[in-house]
Amino acid sequence: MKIMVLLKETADTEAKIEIDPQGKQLSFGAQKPIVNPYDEFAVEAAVSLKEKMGGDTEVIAASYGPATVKDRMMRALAMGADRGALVVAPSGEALDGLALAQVFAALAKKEDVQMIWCGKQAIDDDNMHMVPMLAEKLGWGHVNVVGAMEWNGTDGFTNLAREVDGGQTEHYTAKLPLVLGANKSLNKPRYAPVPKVLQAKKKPFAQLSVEDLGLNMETLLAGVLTEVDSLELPPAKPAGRMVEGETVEAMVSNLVTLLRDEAKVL
Amino acid sequence: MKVVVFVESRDGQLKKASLEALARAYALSGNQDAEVAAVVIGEELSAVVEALKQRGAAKVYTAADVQVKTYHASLYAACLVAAAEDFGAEVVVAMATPMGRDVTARFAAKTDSGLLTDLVDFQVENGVLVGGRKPLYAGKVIAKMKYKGAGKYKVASFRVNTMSVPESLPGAAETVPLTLPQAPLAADFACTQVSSTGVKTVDLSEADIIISGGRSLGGAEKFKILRDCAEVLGAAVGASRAAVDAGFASHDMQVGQTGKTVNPSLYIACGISGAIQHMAGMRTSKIIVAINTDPEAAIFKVADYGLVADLFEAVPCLQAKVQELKQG
Ligand SMILES: Cc1cc2nc3c(=O)[nH]c(=O)nc-3n(C[C@H](O)[C@H](O)[C@H](O)COP(=O)(O)OP(=O)(O)OC[C@H]3O[C@@H](n4cnc5c(N)ncnc54)[C@H](O)[C@@H]3O)c2cc1C
Repeated sequence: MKIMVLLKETADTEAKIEIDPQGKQLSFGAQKPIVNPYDEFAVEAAVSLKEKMGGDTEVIAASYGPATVKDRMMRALAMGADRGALVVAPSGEALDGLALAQVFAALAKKEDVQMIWCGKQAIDDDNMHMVPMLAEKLGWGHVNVVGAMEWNGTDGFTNLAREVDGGQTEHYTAKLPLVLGANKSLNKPRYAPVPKVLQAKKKPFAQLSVEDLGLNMETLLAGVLTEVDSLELPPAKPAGRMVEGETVEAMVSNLVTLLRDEAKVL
Repeated sequence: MKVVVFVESRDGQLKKASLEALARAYALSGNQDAEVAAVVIGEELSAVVEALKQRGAAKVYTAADVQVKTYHASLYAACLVAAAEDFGAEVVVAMATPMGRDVTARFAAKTDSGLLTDLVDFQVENGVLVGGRKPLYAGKVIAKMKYKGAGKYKVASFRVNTMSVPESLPGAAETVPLTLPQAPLAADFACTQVSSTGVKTVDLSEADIIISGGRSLGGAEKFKILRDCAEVLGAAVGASRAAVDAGFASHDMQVGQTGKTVNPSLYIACGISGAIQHMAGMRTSKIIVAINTDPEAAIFKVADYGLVADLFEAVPCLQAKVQELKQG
C-alpha cells in the first residue's frame, strides 16, 4: 500500500506581512516559512496508519514548489514518511488550486497510491480546495476535516468523522481509494528527536518536473482559472475606548447603553 | 447574468446562511429574479421551498429523489451540474460554509471552472462577473481575486455575514424537479450518520453575537456563565485555543487561525489576551468588546469597547442588564 501526504509551504503565523508598492508581491520579513500546520496532522495520520498496517506500506511526502521546499519537507521525513517527491515549480508560474490538483492527480497515478492525506486547509489562502478537487480529478471519494478515524484493518475505514458546523459531525464509512483532509482534533503530531531528523536527510528524495508526470506547463497554465489581481492591507481599525465606571456593575451598565445606542447591536 | 445558487437545508429546514447566498445571487444577476435559480437537495423539501419564496429566485431546482439522505459531495456536485446546465448558468454561488466550500470545489473540478472561495464582495463589469475580494493570511491581507482563462462556469463562495439580507425580494421560487443523470454511486462510500454534541448550539460561523472565553475561565464547568449569558443574548459561545487545549471547550468552539473564522455583529472576548492567532479569527467582527483584568492586554487594541474587569463579575452582570433590557 502506498500513502501520499501533501505538504504546502506557508508563511509563519508570526511573520510580519508587507506588500510591495505595486500591490502585487508579499514579503514576510526574516521569519522562515513553515509547513502548513494542518499538514502535520496529515503526516501523523499517514505515519500512524502505516504503523498499524505494517508490511510494505510506504508513505510518500509530496509537494509542489521551488526547490527550497525540500527543507520544509524534511519534517515529514523525520516524522516517519519513507521518501520525498517534490514537483519543482518553474519560477514565476503560479498555479491555482485546480491546476495544482491536476499535478497531484498525475503524481498519485504515477506512484499508484491508494490513499492521499492533506491538511484540511492551508493557513495562507484558507481555501479548502485541494481535498475535493484532487478527489474529483482522480474520480475518488473524499472526506475533508477529518477529526477521528477508525481503520478497518484491510481496505478502508469504518468511521471517518467529518467535523461540520453547529457541533455536528458526519460519520462516513469508506473504502480506498480516498483523499482525506486532516483536522487538528485528529491527532497530535509526533515530536521528531534529533536522530530521526538526521536520518530524514538520508531518505530517498526525488525532484520531478511536471513533464516527468506526463504533463506540460503550457497546458497547465492554460488551466489556471483564477489569479490574484492585487493585494492590500485591511483598513486599520480606529482605536476603541475603555468603558469606565465606579463599579463593575456601572461599567457593564454603561457598556450595554453604548451597545444599544451607539453601536446598535443589541 | 444567470446564476445558480446552492441552498443548504438541514433536517428539512432552510439554513439561515442560504438566504444570504440567495441575496448575493440576486445582486449578481443585476436584480433580476428570473435570472436566479436555487438548488436544494434532500428528502423533505416542502418547508425549505416555502421559505425560498420572495427571496430572489424565480426557480428552485429540487433534488428530492436522490439516493442518499445525508451529504454526499460528488452526488451534490452532480445535482449542481445538472441544474447549471439546465438553467444555462454562467455563475454558480454558495456560502463558504463547510458544505458550501466542499461542494463548490468538487463542482469546479468536475466542470473545469474557476473557483473563488470566501469572497467578501464581488466585481461585475459590463454584466460579467470578473472577481471579488477575499481575506488571505487570516485577514492580515485582502486580495483582489480575478477569474481568467476559459473556465466553464464562474464559481464563488461567499463569507457568511458579509452583506445584510433584505426581508424580502422578488422571486416566486417555482419548483422544477431536477432530473439527474443516473450515475451509480460507489457503494462503498457513504455518510452513515450525523451526530451532534447534544448541546444545541448556534453555528459559530453564522452567529450574530458571540461570547468567547479563554484560559482564564479555569474549567469546563465555568463556561456555564458564558452559556447562560449567551442564552439571554441569543449568542453562540466561542473559545480561545488555550481554553480548548486545556479541555474547557470543544474544538468546534475554537475561534482563530486554527479554529473558526467568525464575523458576527458583536464579539465579546472574556479573559482572552488577544494573541495574533486568536485575532485572526475574529478581527472582522463589526463590534468587539473585551473584558480583561489586564489593562495592557493586546485584545484592547482591537476592541471597540474595553472593560478592565474580572469576567466572573462582569459576565453575570452583563447577563442581568441584557435581561432587563429585553424585558423592556
Ligand atoms: C500555529 C498557532 C495557531 C494558533 N491558533 C489559535 C487559534 O486558532 N485560536 C486561538 O485562540 N489561539 C490560537 N493560538 C494560540 C495563541 O497564540 C494563544 O496562546 C491563545 O489564543 C491564548 O489564549 P487565551 O487568551 O485564552 O490565554 P492567555 O493568553 O493565557 O490569556 C488569558 C487572559 O485572561 C486574562 N484574565 C485572567 N483572569 C481573568 C479574569 N478573572 N477576568 C478577566 N480576564 C482575566 C489575562 O489578563 C489574560 O489576558 C495559536 C498558536 C499557534 C502557534
